[in-house]
Amino acid sequence: MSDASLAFEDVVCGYGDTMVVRGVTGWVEPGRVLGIVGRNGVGKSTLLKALAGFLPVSRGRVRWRGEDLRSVPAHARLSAGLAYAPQENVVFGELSVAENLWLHLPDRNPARYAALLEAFPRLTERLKQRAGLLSGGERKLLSFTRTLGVQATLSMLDEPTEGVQPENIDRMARLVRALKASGRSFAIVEQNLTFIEQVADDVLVLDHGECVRAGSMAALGREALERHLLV
Amino acid sequence: MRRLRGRSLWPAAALAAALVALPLVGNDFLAYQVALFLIYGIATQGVALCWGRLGFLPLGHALFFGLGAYLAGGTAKAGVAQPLWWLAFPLALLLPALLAWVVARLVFARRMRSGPYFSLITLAMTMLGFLAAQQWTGLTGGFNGMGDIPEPPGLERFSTLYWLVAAAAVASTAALGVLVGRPLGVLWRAIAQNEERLQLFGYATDRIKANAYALSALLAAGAGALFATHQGIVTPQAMSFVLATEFVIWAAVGGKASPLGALLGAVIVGYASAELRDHFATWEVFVGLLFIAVVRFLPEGLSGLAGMKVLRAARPRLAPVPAPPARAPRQVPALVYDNVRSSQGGVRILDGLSFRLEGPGIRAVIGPNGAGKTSAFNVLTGHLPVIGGRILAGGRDVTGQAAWRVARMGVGRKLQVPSVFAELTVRENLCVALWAGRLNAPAALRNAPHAWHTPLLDEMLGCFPELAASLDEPAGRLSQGHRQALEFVMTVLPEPHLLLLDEPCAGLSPAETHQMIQVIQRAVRRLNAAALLIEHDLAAVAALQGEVYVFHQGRMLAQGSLQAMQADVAVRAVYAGARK
Repeated sequence: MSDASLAFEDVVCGYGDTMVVRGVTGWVEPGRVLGIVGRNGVGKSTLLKALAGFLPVSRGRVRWRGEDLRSVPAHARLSAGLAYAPQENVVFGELSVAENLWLHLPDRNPARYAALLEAFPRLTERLKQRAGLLSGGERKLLSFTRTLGVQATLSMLDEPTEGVQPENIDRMARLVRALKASGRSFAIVEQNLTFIEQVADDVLVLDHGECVRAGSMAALGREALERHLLV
Repeated sequence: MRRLRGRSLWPAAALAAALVALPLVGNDFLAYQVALFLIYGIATQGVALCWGRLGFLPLGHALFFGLGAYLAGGTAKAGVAQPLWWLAFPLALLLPALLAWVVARLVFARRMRSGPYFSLITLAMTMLGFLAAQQWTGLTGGFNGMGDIPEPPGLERFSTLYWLVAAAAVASTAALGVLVGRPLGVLWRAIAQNEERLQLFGYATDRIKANAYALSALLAAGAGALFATHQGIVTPQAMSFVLATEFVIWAAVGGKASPLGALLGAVIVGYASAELRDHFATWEVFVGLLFIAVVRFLPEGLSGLAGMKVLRAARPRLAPVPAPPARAPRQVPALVYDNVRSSQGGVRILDGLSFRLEGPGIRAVIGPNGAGKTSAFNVLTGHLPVIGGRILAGGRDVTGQAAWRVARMGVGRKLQVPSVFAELTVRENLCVALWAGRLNAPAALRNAPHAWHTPLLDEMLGCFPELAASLDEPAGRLSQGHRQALEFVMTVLPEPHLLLLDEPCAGLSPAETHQMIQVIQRAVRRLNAAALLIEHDLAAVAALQGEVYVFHQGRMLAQGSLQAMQADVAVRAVYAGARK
């Protein structure tokens, strides 16, 4: 665990006086994908928000390559190698698709997005349009593309496949696996188990803000996950 | 009921006690001075009503204050010579309110995001009023003002008039305190948070806003009338934008969400300004800094600090009563899309979409991202302009109709990103939906609708125990999945017979998706309704067992059973399908 790129220990966080995540421990190792699954309302997004620095951690520790992350504000985490794509409000609606892709980057190296835009030709067609005119699924694709374009050491994705058509979900899985092969790691909150099966090495099953199962995806298997997700 | 009313009236009761004590503790002159700021406070309550409750900021309330003052002053002067003029006195209050209503109807009609324009228009109107008051010397006395306004019959300006002013302040505080807890007050707060959602339930929000603005203008005009008799003279200053700005500052400092807070904001800051302005040359700077500090650190003003929030979670439980029947039409409105085209920003979004939907049952809508699935809903509910073709619902052309008109024809819509009233409790969210099409004007002012229940509501709460368990939580605290459930329940509560459901299973696990589909089927069957349901998860689509529409590039590509669609070559070329 000490060589893990991201490690969180006994994390407690929530909104106001309501604690949604109650002592969750986990880690993401280099070149691996951690899938965070669970029924809705169990604290998956809340945990990811806390790891990304958008929610204060009330208790527990979050370390990134051994360094305590608590004092690192959300905006400084990207340069530390941590990228985050939230579940909602994922694009700047008034900016064009191209502006959405480039506004945070000093370079304009087209190679950065070449494979991504090839996978989602729809975005290429719409580069000059206002992102607010994209459909819900297209916005998620844009957010996914922008986040993967950063090529961060660790990317945190909150339900990247929501509203995305099946073919595109397969392409997303391929793109994640390609980056994983080059040593990048991911923490992905997902409801789509098919996608999780395709990309995740490790899984964390949350229920009522606590971790009820953790282990490698291969050892657990889809059926075990489905049992935990039964209502 | 009695306990409830007592709870919403305690601020007014405390105010009454303090105002009775004031002349006894102080003297008549102090009471006379404070009365002026109580008068300003009543107008400030009007500003706070619009700003703190409904979320739009009136920057020119001095216009109605000044109009009320001039009209009341003029009528009172005329009444000295001919007592019949007193009969016209109510017009001094009603005419400004009518003017406010007309302006608000014009500005708010059809545009939801007109807030900033509205503020600027009201500011401009006040500046116009100020100029008119200065220039129209024959009527207003111009710069020197309209003087020699008599005292109201039977009252002395420097002694007994105080009691009239105090009574008016207590009455307006009490009335507003009661109103904000009633269904109308809940709808006001709902408008501030999510006007679009409210329109999708069939509420004509522009009218609710115009009525509230007229009420706030009535308060300002009433305050203006008191001002005329209190001062005995009305100058253009009573209609100036400086006074209008002071109303805003007092509302912010006192607390724009609390009627008593707004009143006290005017009394405390106003009175302190009048007393201290002469002693400290930099007093105005201090008030400016106070305003900045309050806006920055105390969004609810001093009353937020004192915890004076009227009635929130502690609403006592009322025994459930059956809700009146919904006014929505009782049968499925036949839906016809006839070569509908739409584009925005030069992008073609719908390109000749045609289909016909008749009779109950669920139809699943599938298709690639950007195929126009959500847009097909948007053109029906007035969110996207139609540039060609037409849409018929129930045999009527509804192309380009406002969202609330379409909703009243029995069309219910659930949005793609679950859309609820974040700061209202789950219970209030459900109430707002249940009231849609059921709440008439008298009921909006009574408590009983808070206890309304329908068999469908009870059944849905039984299906979603997590909602039943968090009825008193703010809806914004719910996870996205639970918000999906809440918004779905809200969508069916007005008992529409055509449901537009946009990815109701997004954010749900496979098992929860299955459960959600079952609840949707149950609700649709119970209502004997038709539903169009956008979904990517083919396991869910299969469970629906209904007809499938495949959209592609803004058109209908194919329709038929799921098996037929999965076998269709054209469909397979654009959409593979998979399970979650």
